[in-house]
Amino acid sequence: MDELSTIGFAPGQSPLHQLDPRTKQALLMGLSAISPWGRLTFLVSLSVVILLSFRAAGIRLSRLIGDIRYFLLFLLFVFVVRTVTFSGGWIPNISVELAGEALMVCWRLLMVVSMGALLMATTRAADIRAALVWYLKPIPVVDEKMAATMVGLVVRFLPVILFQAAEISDAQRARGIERRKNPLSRLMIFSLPLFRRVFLSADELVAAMQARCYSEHRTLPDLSFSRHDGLAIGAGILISLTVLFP
Amino acid sequence: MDVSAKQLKRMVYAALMAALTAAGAYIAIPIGPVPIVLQNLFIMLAGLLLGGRWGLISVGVYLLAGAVGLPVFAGGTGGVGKFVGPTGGYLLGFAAAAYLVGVISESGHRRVAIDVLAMVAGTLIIYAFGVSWLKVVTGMSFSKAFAVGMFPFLIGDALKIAAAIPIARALRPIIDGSFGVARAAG
Amino acid sequence: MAVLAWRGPQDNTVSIIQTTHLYHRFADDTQGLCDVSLAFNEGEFTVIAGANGSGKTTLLRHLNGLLLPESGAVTVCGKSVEEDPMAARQQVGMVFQDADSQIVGETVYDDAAFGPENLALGRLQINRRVTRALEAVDLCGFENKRPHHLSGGEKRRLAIAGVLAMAPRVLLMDEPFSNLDYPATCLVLDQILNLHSNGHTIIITTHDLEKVVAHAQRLVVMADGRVVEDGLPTEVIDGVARYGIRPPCSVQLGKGIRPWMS
Ligand SMILES: Nc1ncnc2c1ncn2[C@@H]1O[C@H](COP(=O)(O)OP(=O)(O)OP(=O)(O)O)[C@@H](O)[C@H]1O
Ligand SMILES: [Mg+2]
Repeated sequence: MDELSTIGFAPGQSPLHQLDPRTKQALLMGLSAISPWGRLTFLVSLSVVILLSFRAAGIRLSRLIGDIRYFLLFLLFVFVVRTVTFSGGWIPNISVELAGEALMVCWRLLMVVSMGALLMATTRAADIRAALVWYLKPIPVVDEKMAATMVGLVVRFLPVILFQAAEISDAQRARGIERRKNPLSRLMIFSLPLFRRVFLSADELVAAMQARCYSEHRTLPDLSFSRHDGLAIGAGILISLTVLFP
Repeated sequence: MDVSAKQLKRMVYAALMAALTAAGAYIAIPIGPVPIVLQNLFIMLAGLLLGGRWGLISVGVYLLAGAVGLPVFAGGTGGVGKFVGPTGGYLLGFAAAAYLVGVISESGHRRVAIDVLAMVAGTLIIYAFGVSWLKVVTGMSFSKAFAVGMFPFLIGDALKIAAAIPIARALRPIIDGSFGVARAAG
Repeated sequence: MAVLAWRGPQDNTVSIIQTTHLYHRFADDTQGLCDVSLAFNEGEFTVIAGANGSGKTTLLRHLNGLLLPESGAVTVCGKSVEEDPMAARQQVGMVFQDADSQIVGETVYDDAAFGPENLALGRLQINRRVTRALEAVDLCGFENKRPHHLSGGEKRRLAIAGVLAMAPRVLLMDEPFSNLDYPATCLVLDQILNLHSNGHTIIITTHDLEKVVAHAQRLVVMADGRVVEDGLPTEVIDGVARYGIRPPCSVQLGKGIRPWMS
C-alpha cells in the first residue's frame, strides 16, 4: 500500500526525461485520440518508437508486463469475446477475419496504456501538475490555480488517508469486528470514523494554509520548451500521418 | 468568515473528499465471499455531503489527477491507461453520478426518500457509462455487457445505498457546522 | 484612528506583538480567552506554559488572525491584525501542534515553497528561500521526498522550514517537542536557539517546561484562559506547580533552572 503505482517516476537522463511534460502529455493525448483510426503501419511504427523509448528510459519490459498483468488479462478477454462466436448451439466459431480485427483493437489499447506508463515513469509529479495547470488555463469555467492546489492536496493526503484507513481497520479487527455479520453495520462502522477523522483534520488544514498566507494569486510552477520538444512534436505528427496507410 | 476563507474551506473539503474517493478504490470490506469495494459508496457520499457543484468538482479533480498521470489510481495501469481499461466507463460515470446525486439531494432538501432516489439514479448512471464502454471495447451485445458489468454488483450497490443514508446523516452536521450553515427547523 | 494616532514605540524596546484586553468565546460558549494583555518585544524568547485546555493554542491563533477576538485587539508591528491579517501572517509564522495536518505539499520542496508561492514571489526567489529554509532545519537533499515518508522529527522540521521560507520576524510554535524522541528534540531545540540568535522573536507554548525553559527570557503562565504569571523564568518557575504544570527536575531538586540538553 506504500507506493501507489509500481511504475513510478524513476529519475534519468533519457530523451523522454528531458522533454517538457506538456509535450509528453500532448503526444500522449494526440496519439491516443488518433489511434482508433490507426492500422498496421501506424501500430507498427508507434510500437517501435515506444519500445525504443522504454529502452532509452531504462525500464525493463518485464517490469511493465508485471505491472499491467491484469490489463493484459482484460485484453485477452476482449480478444476472445471478439473472436469467438457461437453460431447456434454450443459450437464455438473462430473466424480469422474477426481475430485480425480484435488483435488490432487490443493492440491499440495496449499502446495507450504503454504511453501512459512511459509518461508516469519519466515525469516527476510536480512537472505533471505544472503541465496540467498550463493546459487548464485556456479552458473557461475551470479555475486552474484552484485545480492545481486541489490536485496537490489529493496527492498529499491520499497516502495519509490510506494509512488512517488501515489503522481503523486494524483497530476494529482487534476488537472482533469480523464477528459482526450485518453488512450494513460493517460498512458504517468502518466509513464513519474514517470520514470523521478526515473532515475534522480539514479545519486544521485550512488554518495551516491561511497561516501561510494562502491566496488565489499564487506563483505557478514554470516550465520551458526547448528544441527537443519541437523535434518530438514533429516525430509525433509523422507517426500520426501513418494512419493514412493501411 | 470572509468569502475567501469560505472558498478555501470548500476547496479543502472537496480535495479531501477526492482523496477519500481515490482511497475508496483500495479499500475493500470482506463481507461474505466477495469483498465490497467502497469507491462507489464514497462517490455517492461526495454528492450527498458536498452537493452537486462541489461533488462534481471533487470527483473531477480525482479523475483529472489520475488522467494526467499523478499517482492516485489503484493498480498497475495508472494514468490514461485506467480510462481504456475495463473500468474506464465507470470512472467517467462517477463524475456524472456525484453531480446527479448532489443536485437531486439538494433539490429534495435532503429528505431520506429523495436521497435514496438520488443514489439509485446515480448508480444507474454509473452503469450507463460503464456498461456502454464495456460494450464498445469488447464488442459484446448489451445484454451480455449488462450481465458481466452490472448485475453481479447490484446487491452490493443496494447495501451501499442503505449505508450511505445514515453515514450522510451523521456527517452532515460536521460539514454544515464548519460552513456555518443554519439548519432550518424540522 | 487608533492606528493613526500610534506614534511609534514609547520606550526603547519595540513591542512587535501586542494584545490588549483580549476576550474570546467559542461558538459553544466556552470562554477561550479572558482579558489577556501581553506585549512581546522584538528578539524576545518567550515560553507560554499552561495545562491542557488553558488557552495556549487559542492565544497563538489570535496573534496571526486565525481567530478573531470577541473584544480587545491584537497588533503586529503596530498594525491591527483584524484589518490586515495577511500582513500579520507574513510577519508572524506559526508552527502547528500537529505537523501532519500542516504539511500541504506533495513533496518536501513543494511544501517549503507553498508560503513563498502564496506571496506571489518569482520562481528564482522562491528557490533561494526554499534552499535556505531547508538548510536551516537540516533537510537539504530531501527536496523530492514525499512528506509521508518522513519521520516525526523530520516532519516537524519541515513544518518549521515551511514557515521560515516566508521570512517571518516572529515564530510561534505550538508544542514543538510533542511526540519527538531525544535526538529529534535536541535537533529542533538547537534550531530554535539558532533562529533566536539570528534575531527572530520566538514564542513557544508547552505544558512541559523541562526542555526549553532554561533558554527562555520570559515565562508566561496561563490557566483557564487567563494570564496568571508573567516574568523572568527564575522568578516565576517556583509557583508553576499550582497551575498544573510540572516544574523541571532541576528545580524540584532545588538546583534552579539548568539546561536540559547536555
Ligand atoms: N473550536 C472550539 N470550539 C469550542 N471550544 C474550543 C475550541 N477550541 C478550543 N476550545 C476550548 O477552549 C479551551 C482552550 O483550548 P486550547 O486549545 O487553547 O488549549 P491549549 O492550552 O492549547 O491545550 P493543549 O495543551 O491541550 O493544547 C479548551 O477548554 C477547549 O476545550
Ligand atoms: Mg494546544
